[in-house]
Amino acid sequence: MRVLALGDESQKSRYFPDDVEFVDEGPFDAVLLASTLQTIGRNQVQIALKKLYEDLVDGGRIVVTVPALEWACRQIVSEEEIGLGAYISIYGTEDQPFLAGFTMLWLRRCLEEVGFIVVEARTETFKMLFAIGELKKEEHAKQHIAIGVKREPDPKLALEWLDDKSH
Amino acid sequence: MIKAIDVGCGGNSFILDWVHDYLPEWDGQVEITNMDGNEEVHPDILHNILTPMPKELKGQFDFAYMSHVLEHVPWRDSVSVAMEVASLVKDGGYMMVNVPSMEWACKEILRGNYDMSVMMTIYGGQDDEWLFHKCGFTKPALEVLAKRIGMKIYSLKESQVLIQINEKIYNAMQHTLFMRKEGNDLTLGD
Repeated sequence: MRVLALGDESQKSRYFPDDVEFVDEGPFDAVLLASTLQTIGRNQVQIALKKLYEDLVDGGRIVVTVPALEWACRQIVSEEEIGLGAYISIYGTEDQPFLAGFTMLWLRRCLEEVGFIVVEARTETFKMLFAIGELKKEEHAKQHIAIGVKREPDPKLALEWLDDKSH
Repeated sequence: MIKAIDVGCGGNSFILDWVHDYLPEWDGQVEITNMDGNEEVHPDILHNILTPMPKELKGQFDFAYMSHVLEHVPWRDSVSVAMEVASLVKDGGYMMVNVPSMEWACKEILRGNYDMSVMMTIYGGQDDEWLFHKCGFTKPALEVLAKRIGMKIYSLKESQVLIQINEKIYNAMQHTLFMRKEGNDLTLGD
């Protein structure tokens, strides 16, 4: 199994068994974008996803994790004191600024627009580790995980469907 | 003449409209100095706001205006940049900061509105290198900012703003923080 893993290294082992081969060049059986999609400019998101879709084999999977934008927004509009986790979920840090944000709905739409079929979508609490200058900190935050499958349309199925309609 | 400075003036400034709204008694008497880090907009003073203000400008202005600039500064630098701008203002002078409304954008996202205007409010137009937002401000965050730079808040209001990107106009909301620098002589007797 050939896997392209980008972003947070620590998430690799979570999504893939030990025996996978991590590679840089396609075709890939799977792609992991671990806390990565939000670090590229808004205008580049669809271009990047389209390219990855093309580099995947038929039936290949993409696993995307991003900070949960709607969770961060809810924290910010709440009356309570805002933790840094919410703020960093939106803007990132100086070393790793975020240039885009995703609600689950938007993440799903981005994946579906380039052709992925979303087979799993959930939000989980995680420990966000970050550094402010020398200071290393840890905060609770939420992230979305979406898994998409590349499924080439089967021309035979399309014909059967047409046949059904014509009867 | 009343001396005003437009920090991060860009090519298209509304400073006189704001003076008219907030300090109408100054109408027709304001002399504006434009400052920007981009030489293409031909500012009077070419200066990168991430570096300290030139010494000779300190305390020279009745009004410092900074509109849609602070959100382009990394968040750790926002207080020091605002503090440097405040240092340009004379005792008794005023300062105005306009920034996109972070809570407006967050509320819109929570309503399921993912329009360009909302995403631009948080992350900027992203049409060129400068047009990326690196931080955002809610009203409480601006209150803290005023306190940190030692200015007294006169008003803090949310208003509509039209943003033009590639000939297209978008509606969004902004905060206007209007402050006064009160010198020691002015606060005596409080």
